[in-house]
Parts: sequence; structure tokens; C-alpha cells
Amino acid sequence: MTAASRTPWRRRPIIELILAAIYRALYSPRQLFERMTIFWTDHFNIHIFSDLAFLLKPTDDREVVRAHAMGSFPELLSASAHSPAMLSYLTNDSNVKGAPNENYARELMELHTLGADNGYTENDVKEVARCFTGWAYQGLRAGSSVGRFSFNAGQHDNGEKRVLGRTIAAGGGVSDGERVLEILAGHPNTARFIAEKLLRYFWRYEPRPSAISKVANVYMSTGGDLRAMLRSVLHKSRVGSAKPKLKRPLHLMVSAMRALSAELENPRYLIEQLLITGHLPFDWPPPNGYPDSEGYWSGLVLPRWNFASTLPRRERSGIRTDISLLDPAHSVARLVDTMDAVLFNGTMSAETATELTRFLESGNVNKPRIRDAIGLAVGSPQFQQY
Amino acid sequence: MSDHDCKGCKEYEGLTRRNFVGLTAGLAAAVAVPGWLPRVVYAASESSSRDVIVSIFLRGGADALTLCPPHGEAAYYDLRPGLAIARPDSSAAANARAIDLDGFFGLPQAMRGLKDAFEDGYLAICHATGVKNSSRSHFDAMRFMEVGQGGAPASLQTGWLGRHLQATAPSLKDGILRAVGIGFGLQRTLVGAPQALPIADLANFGLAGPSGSRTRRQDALAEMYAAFDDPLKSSAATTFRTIDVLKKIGFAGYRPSGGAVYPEDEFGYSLRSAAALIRAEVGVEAVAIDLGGWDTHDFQGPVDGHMAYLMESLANGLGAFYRDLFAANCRRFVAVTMSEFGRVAFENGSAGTDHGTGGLMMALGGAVRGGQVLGSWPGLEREQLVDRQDLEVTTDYRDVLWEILDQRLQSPSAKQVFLDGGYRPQAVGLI
Repeated sequence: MTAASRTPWRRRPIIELILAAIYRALYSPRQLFERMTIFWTDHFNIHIFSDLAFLLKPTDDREVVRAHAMGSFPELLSASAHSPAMLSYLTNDSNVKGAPNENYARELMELHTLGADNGYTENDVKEVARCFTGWAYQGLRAGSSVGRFSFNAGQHDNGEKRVLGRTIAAGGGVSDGERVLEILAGHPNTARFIAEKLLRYFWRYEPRPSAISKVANVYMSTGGDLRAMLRSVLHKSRVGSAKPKLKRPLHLMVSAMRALSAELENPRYLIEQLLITGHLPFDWPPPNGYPDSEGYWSGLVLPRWNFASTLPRRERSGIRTDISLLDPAHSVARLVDTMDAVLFNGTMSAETATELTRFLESGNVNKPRIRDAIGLAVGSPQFQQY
Repeated sequence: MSDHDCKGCKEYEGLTRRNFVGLTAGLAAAVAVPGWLPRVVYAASESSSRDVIVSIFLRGGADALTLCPPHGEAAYYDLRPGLAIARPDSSAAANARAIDLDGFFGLPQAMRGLKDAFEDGYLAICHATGVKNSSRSHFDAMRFMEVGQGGAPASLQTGWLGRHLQATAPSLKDGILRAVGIGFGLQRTLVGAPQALPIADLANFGLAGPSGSRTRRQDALAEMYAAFDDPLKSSAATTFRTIDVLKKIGFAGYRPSGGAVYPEDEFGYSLRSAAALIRAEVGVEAVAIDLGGWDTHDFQGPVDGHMAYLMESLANGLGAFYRDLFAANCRRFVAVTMSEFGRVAFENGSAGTDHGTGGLMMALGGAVRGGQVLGSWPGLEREQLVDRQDLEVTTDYRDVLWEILDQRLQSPSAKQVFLDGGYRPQAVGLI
């Protein structure tokens, strides 16, 4: 969408939410927590430019994603199901008796809990949709409770339902949907689905089945305690056997800026780069969230290089980086060592070191050349991975 | 596009297809094909006689009743007392009077840049088109039209043009780039296309930073990536070749033919770049361009205000594009415009119009049966309006697109492009 179609009164909360996400990614001392909020923002994706999301998503971000990012999955799932932003985005608020809307029911099982085609039938989708009939949120006339969850009993289908082989008795009202959430949150396929996704996010693209089982067991034995799961996911035995993953664009930019103690003086350039690379927070239209796959993100390398070479140039990037450790008076070997320590945590590859050395030695070592070298280091294939 | 009648193109900047074949030989890596998309088997043989399609999206919901006013319809003037484009023979100021096209429809003066193309018979307008059963939400309606669906719910992720390119063999066997989306981020229309790149500025597709060190920096990156693993390795190689190809075209020094003058605005610049790209014959088969700002809720200004300015940009840009490519004898192209919806038939209290239904599409190109306003006109009397307020959609927008894809782009089947078993294309008479 062009800027013009994003009318100004909509744009303000959107920009504020996006900037908040960026500033937290850059400056929050709780890095694991922020990584988890990005994970759940994708998992329970809500496109900020859809319908009323510009009004509703900021609350969802605060009261669903951030409130439960390191809490319990069943509570997170329940908060999301009751969230007006989700009710609106997946049109569960127009799911009514006699004319059920299956949108939320389908994505709830496919994307939020069990995983695609993983233990539910088309009939389950229809039955789950019936369970959620009447779920809505307070409109503008509701005074101080505007934008809060509401249940419209008159629009609820009160008949008996059968979900994943279990009977939900007639007359349950709002508890029908809550019962569905309990069934799904307690399902072993949900445990495996969330376990696999967390392992893929933090560890490697193709986690081993034995690792998935281990983390899924933690989910089942703790009732979906996310901290306990993370302890298992990030266990030192696993971190040691991690395979390199491609940083997504936001991750690339934030990791480079954090490494260089950067200060975001003007966010304009960064926002533009996130648009160019297709990774602006909250700007993914379909409900599945930004992909966590190498194939999707590896096609566009030029914007990565251009971000890297522009980043140390404050007048262009609006970003002040601290490169005081890189003194032009130092030897080339020392400069490369410093970049290794600052950007690669001492793991710079021989190829990267060779090329940086050759580049620095190709002329007088001055500040502009050092900035160029930082651009090459951040643009190097090694820095694209984590 | 190897053997087509684009003779003028070949002389352009001494650039021939052979240069590019040599430059890009042996390179087959797809660029930016999202991994989560369903894999499609690409057609096997190359083909050479297709039109290049330029898909232009007017974002915001362009008002069809201003773009092509039905000056022969009395109700139009009742519905739009303050906004209607005056009849060609009225006593209104000259810049407020429609240019007559066929005795019933006209063009506003702001669109006079397209008068020649229409009268020469290469521009056709299809009125009352759009998505049947669409939505009044910009987001949803754009999505329907870009993914190529008939209406709610939008379940597709790839674009209609992306799927067309998936289903057809490249027109240039070793071409590096099949589609370009001009802008930040690929237009949804093109998502799923093999070898498609979003490029904000074709003239500046290259490494940023100081020019003095550019070659050295590019060499260092090339070395590092060549020693690395796929997919980053091949992605970098493709990027370097694309930089070379686009650099050779020399967009900055491009001289349009036929005395064509592109407007000095973003849309004119994009079309000028697209013309240079098409004439360079580097295998680009599709270009997507956006022109935003059509959400005219207030102070629409069809004669000398906001919308007039936008229409001038549109018409002068396309008019220059037509003049340029035709003068270069480069007629194998078709440009098509669309917008997510039209606007309510009557004006609102803020001298503007709200989100409506029926819109309008235009097609410009060497094979277009132009000089006519097509489509079945639903009328503007109250009982003829949808919900008593909107111009009815009488032509499915996919019919227009399909006629172009089928007749000029050798698309295999409407079913493969639109993935809708229930959709039966109807002839529009455009090609």
C-alpha cells in the first residue's frame, strides 16, 4: 500500500507501535524477552494495516503478546482468542449463529495450536467455528469498555458440538469457545508444534525429532510453561550444536546496531530499509506471520549490503555508531581483530578476515576507509547468519 | 522478446540481446521466490513473441466517474452537482468540459494526455469493472485484485501476474530478471514470480556508499560470497549480474523517442525507466508500478484540484510512454491500469466521494483494440445503482486481465492463473 492510502489518523498509532518495537529491539536489556515478543508477534500475526488493527493491535501487543511472552502458552492463547484485534483480524467478531465464519477456527488450529493438517478435520473446523459464535468486542457506544471483549449470547449457537472427538454439551454459551481453547492447549500436537517452532527459531531450521520430543514433553509436563520450554530449547548442549541460520532483515539491522552501540537519532532511514527488505514490524498481511525460512529471505542481498555500508555514515543513516575503538593509527591486524571482537564475538572466519585485511591494506587507513570496512563486515555473508 | 517487431529497441544504446546473453549465460538462480509458496513446475520451453505487460495499480480507489465521465447520462449530473465533469458542449469553463470520446463517455481535460492514444486506436477503456462481491476496505479490496480472486475470503498469497510468470517459460532463456516491481517491496501482484525483484529506482540499483571505493568494496563482497554457501552465494551472484545488466542500460541517459516528454514526477520517472527497460530487451516480461493518492474523500478537485493533478500525472505519463515506444517501433507491450474499487456515485458533503464499487480499467498497447469504451454500462439511475449508491460491476476485472494474458502473453490457462475453478472468462473485446 502506498503512503497516501494510509490516512494520517490511522498512521499515528501504527508508526508509534512500529517505533516502539524497533526501540525495544535496539535498547531493551531483556533481549530474550524481546526475541520472544517477536516470535509471538509472528505466531499470532495481526496485520497492522488491516481494517481496525491500527486501533486494536497496540492493546493486543501490550496485553496479549508482551504480557504473556514468557508466561504460559494456554494463557497466551486464551488472551489472543479474546483479543479484539484478533477477533477483528480473523473476523471471529462476525461469526454468528446460523452463519458461522470459519476463519478464526481454521487458523486457530492450523497456525496457533495443532499445525496444518495435524489432527483435525474439516468437520472440526466447522464445529469449532460454532463454538465461537457470538464472540465479539464492545463497539464505540460502549463507553469506557469500548474495545473490550464481549459475548453476544443472542448470536451464539447453543446446540451440542463435537470437537476433536469430544462432546461439548448444549447450552455452554461463552464457555464453548473456552473449552475449545483448553482442548487445543492440552493437545500433544500443540506441544510438538510449539516446541518445533521454538527450536527452529532459536536453534536450527530443521530441528531433530528427538529434540522436538524433549521440548514437547516439557510443555506437557508443565502445562505449557514457556520459561521451562526455553530452558530446554536453549540448553547448552543444544546451543553447542546449533546450525547457522540466516538473520531476518530486522535481526540483521538490530544486531549490527547493538554491536556498534548505535544510537538511533532519526528512524526514517531504518524504517525505509525495513520497507525495502519487506520486514517492517506488524506489516505481514496473511495470518501466518513473517516466515522463518532461509529461502524466503535470502533473495534480496543488495539491501543488506546497502544497509551495512550506510549504517556507519550518520549523515545518511540517522544512526550514530560508536567506532572509537577503531583508531586509524592502529595496525590493520589490530583493526581486524577489533572488528572480530565487536561484530563476530571472536568467531570471524578466515575468508572474512582475509578480505577485510586486503581491503584495509589497499590504501591509506583513515576514518572513511574504516567505515567502508565496517560496511563490508556487516555486509559479509558470515554476519548475515547467527 | 527476441524476434518481435521492436526494431528500434535493438539500436538503443548499442545494446543487443546478445550482450546480455553473454553477460548472463549459465545463470539460472531464481531471485526472491518465497520458500513458503507452493512449488509450481515451470514451463519447459522458452518463448519469444509475448507482449511485455506493465501493470499499473491506482491505489486508494480511483473515481471511475471522473476518469471517464458518462456525460450522456442525465443522472450523472444529478448525483454530482459539484463534482461532475461538464458536458463537452456546455457553457462551463473550457478546462471543466469533457473531451468527447463516443457521444456518451468522455475524458476530463486533465486526461487529455491520453487523447491521441485513444483516437489512434491503441487505448481502450473498460467501464464498470472491478471485483464482484468485493469489500469497501482498501486493504481487502486491493488484496482481492492483486491475488486475482473473485472476492471474499482472500485465501491466495501469490499474485495473478506472479502465477502467470510461474506458469510460462521465460521469454529469454538466460535472462536474469523476468519481472520488476517498481517500489519498496514487491507488489503482491508479482509475488510468486520467478526472478522478480522490487527495485525502487532502476537507475540506482547498485552498491550504496562512496563511489570512490565502490569497485573495491564490490570486489571484496564478491570474494566473500563466492567462498560462501548457497543460497547466499548464488543470490549474491545474481545480484551482481543484475547490477551489471541494469548499469549497461544507462537509465540516466535514456533519451525517449518521438519527442516524448515524461512528467517530472515519480510516476513519469517510473514509466520512463520501464520504457528503457523494455527497449533494452533484457528479458523483463512484467513491470508493476503504483500510483497512489486516489482516496478522494474530500476536496476531490476533478478540474483543478487534487484529482486533476493525479489524472495529469497518469495521463501525461502514459501518453509519453505510448509516444516513446511507438516512435521506437516497440509495440509489443500492453499497459493495464486498475484500482481496488470505484467510488460512490453521488458526492458527499465534503466535495469528495466515499468508497464505492464499480471502477474502470484502461489498456494501452500495440494490440489493443482501442478507441472504444467497453463494458456493459449499468446506468446511474437510483434503481440501477448497487445499494442505491454504487456503480455496478458489470465486467469482472479478471476478464480484462485474462484477455491480455491469453491473447498477448501466451498464458496457459485462466484456471492456472486465477486458481478458481468456478471462474469462466468472458470476452471483453479488448484485444
